[in-house]
Amino acid sequence: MVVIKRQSPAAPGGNESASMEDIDFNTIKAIGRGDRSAFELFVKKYQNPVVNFIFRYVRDRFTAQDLTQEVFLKVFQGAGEFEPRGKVSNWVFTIAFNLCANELKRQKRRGYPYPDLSLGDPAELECPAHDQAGTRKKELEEDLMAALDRLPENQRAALWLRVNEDLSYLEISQVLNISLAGVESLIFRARKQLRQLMRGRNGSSP
Amino acid sequence: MHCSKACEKISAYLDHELDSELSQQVAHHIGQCDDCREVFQDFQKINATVREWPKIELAPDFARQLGRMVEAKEGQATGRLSVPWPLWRFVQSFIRLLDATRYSSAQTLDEFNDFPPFSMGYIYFKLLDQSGRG
Repeated sequence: MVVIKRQSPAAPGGNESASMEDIDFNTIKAIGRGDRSAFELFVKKYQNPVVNFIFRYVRDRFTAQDLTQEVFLKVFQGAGEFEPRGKVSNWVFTIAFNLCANELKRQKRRGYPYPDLSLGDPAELECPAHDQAGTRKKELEEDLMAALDRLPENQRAALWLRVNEDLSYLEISQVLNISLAGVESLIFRARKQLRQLMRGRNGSSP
Repeated sequence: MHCSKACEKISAYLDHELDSELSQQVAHHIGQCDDCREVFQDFQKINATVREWPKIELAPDFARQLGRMVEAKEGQATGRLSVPWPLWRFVQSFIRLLDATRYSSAQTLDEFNDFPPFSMGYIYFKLLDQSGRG
């Protein structure tokens, strides 16, 4: 059983967040009326979070750029019918996630050109040189980065949205279209796998 | 609380996603148990690494380019509207008049055909009437 109750770590920021949502809603309304400058402002605000979320998911820079463009074109097309049932940012990430999922399905049908990056044995990632503590730490960070890229797509997406975009489990569940328990499990498993790698590295150090 | 249960909840605890009762239980357990405290600290380090995940940036004029693209697409979609609206309505009405055979009113045109015999108007209405009935 998952017990989920979001406790806002920064209560004073609540009003600020609400007003930001109001601004986003107003911007979306303006975009729905065909306001190009509102659209450009909206793109500027969300382009980097969106492209990086997509990049983490598809792991290809050029595909990420193309999909980001597609996300915002869909935002423009859908702004007129947007219903404020959640945060605007969640809606944008949902569009991005759906496009990513479709893209990966398409790539897999075509033979999946990306290398198989499934998380293997942490020992395989070890490098022979562990002479200095600084080098080890740097290598560990690099290995963790590599391991992050090797996590399954959904785990990567959930962890990214939680840590870098500060989305709640509920919001992530809406974006990824899975249950709350599913989100908790994805994030927990991602951290557990990364920890195993971390522990494996530390354990192997002299 | 047992270690196995606490360990499963440490991730959600770190994300402030547990209710206050469970959160207190996990916090209490972490205070007591070295192993679980280690897990918690490792998860914190992992969060720090995730924040350092390399990011990419789009071209500075990405938004403007996209704005232009949207405008161009809109222009294509509503290209006919670039003709002034009254002129467009006039052209539409004129085309409909020329294509009058499509409309049911074209079947009873005789009452309007008071042109002199063999005048252009007479022939036009006659043809329209025939094609309308045919």
